[in-house]
Amino acid sequence: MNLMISRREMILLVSVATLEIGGRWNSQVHGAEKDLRKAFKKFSRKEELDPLKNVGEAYLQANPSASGVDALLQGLPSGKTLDEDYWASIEKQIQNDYRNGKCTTVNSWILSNTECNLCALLHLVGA
Amino acid sequence: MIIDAYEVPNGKTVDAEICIIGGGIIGIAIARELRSRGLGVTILESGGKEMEQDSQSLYKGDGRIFETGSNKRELPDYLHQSRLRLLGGSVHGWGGKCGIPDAEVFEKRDWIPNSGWPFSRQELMPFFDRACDTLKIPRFDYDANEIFDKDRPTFIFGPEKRLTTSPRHISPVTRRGPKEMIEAYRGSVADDPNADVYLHANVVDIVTNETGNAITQVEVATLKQGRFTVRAKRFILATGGIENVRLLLNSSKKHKNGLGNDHGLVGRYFSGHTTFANSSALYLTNRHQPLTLYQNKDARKIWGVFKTSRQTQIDHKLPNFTVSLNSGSPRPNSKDAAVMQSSFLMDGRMANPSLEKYSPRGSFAQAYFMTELAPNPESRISLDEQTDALGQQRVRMDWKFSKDDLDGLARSAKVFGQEMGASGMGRMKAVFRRDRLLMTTGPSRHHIGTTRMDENPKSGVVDTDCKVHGLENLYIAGSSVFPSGGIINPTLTIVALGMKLADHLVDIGKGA
Repeated sequence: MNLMISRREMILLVSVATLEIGGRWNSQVHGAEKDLRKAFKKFSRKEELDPLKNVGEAYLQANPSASGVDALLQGLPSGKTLDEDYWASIEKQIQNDYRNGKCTTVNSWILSNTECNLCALLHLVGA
Repeated sequence: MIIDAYEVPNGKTVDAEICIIGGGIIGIAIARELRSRGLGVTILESGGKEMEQDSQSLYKGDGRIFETGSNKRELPDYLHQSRLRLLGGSVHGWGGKCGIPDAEVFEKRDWIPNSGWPFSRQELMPFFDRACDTLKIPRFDYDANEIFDKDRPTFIFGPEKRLTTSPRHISPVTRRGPKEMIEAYRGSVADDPNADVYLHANVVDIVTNETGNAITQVEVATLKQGRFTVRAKRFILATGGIENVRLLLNSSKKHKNGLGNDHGLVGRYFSGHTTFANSSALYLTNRHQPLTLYQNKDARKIWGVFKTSRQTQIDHKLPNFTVSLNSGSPRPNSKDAAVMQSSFLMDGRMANPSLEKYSPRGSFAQAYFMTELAPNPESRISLDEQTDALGQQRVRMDWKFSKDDLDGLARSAKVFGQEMGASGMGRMKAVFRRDRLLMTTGPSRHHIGTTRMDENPKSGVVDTDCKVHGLENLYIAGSSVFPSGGIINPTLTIVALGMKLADHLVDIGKGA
């Protein structure tokens, strides 16, 4: 796997909102805190996180082969830090998913496989 | 000139040049055209100038829709609520939407059984122009995807161009327009001293000559026991896609299976347009491209719907499919809002400080989908055993959807959802529960295909001049002659075909 962002960092990424609930933000991803705070601040309430976890759970149930954090991380772009460039690469990959028909219907939503991956990660590590 | 059939002496015979049965929007359009070119016209309209319940109740019948071998939904009121029986007809209930069918609707597509017309859209374009003039809307002589009204720009999709924009205009000759518009439209014939418009005149029999190959007269009855006869050189049946069938099948004295029904086709291939809306929603995140062209339905301006492109239909073997946005913007529930925001988040925009100008919450839009239904011989209008106040057999509607119709809807919607993501427009949620689909669909008032056009009498009821096969002087006007219904509101096409028919009648009139 050529994923340069560490597994621990990605777990931090997808679980940051959960951490934020208790005000226990303690990212060790230097330089990314501000952007991540901004990115996830809309998910500061549990009731706003649960629907995403539900999407992730439903995706995993329909795609058992995608289970496991490592498998899900392999589906994400490589990167060194969780900076703007990394988010841009995520955005690009999502757009390419849509353009190439790499989409899945989950809970009646038509979502890109990358979005489903992220929701599944949130379900696995952020619960 | 209006003549009330209640005042016509019993047993009288009226002689006419061209007799039009039905004084709806198409009967009037053809009459105007023929009158302007010097031909004599007599219209027989069942209703009055205003709605009358005893006339309207003649429409009653038995109706249902169902998916072959599966769910069924009874529509007990559909047949008498989806049409209006008075001078001007359903124009009094029409929304005024006008558009031109896609070129591919006129072509034979191997993935849509029984699709295609006997001529191309291009051949019909001059008549569409005249129909636009008749309905007082701008002509469709532009490419909607190149229009850039700065206040209402066309949405630019990704390089794959899986979706495009299809333009619509709203005719003012409707209940939406000024009342005087409808009055002027029907008055253009009713006030013409050289056109006779009979009200309360119900045709109960179309009578042929001894050899059965030409119409000699029609028998007319009123709801007050009056009866008289109208003789003419030519007859045009223009009573709508269901009543056209009923009259042909009830006229069975000479032709036991009904007129034009030697091959059992009259009433078959019934189709309409249906909308699917209740369980679908769009979540719009894109702020680059306003959607005013699609959401703000200003009746005075062009407005747009999204459609799958021709190439997408070919690549994925899809039917015609459109998505219309409603102007309302109710709030989504909290669960949907959260997923919508996550989509936004995952587009990277929240993380990018330079994009703070974007609304973090996006917006919500209601949408409704329309999908083309394949012409299906098992979907049909037939006669019922019940009779109406004039002794005419009522109709039974068995509107059948095929599995492919509903699969095509779901597959088209998925393509639309993917393109929303690819273009950055947003995300789509669509619930397609097969066991609920027919319960939530909205059947349109468009009645299509029951006297379909084909050059071969074994495959169609009328020829390319809209003349009934095997009968020298009986023509049919209206959407019942459409071989493929496509997805566009049919009125403009109905009027365009009426212009074509009028030209034909003028041409053969010159030779007569």
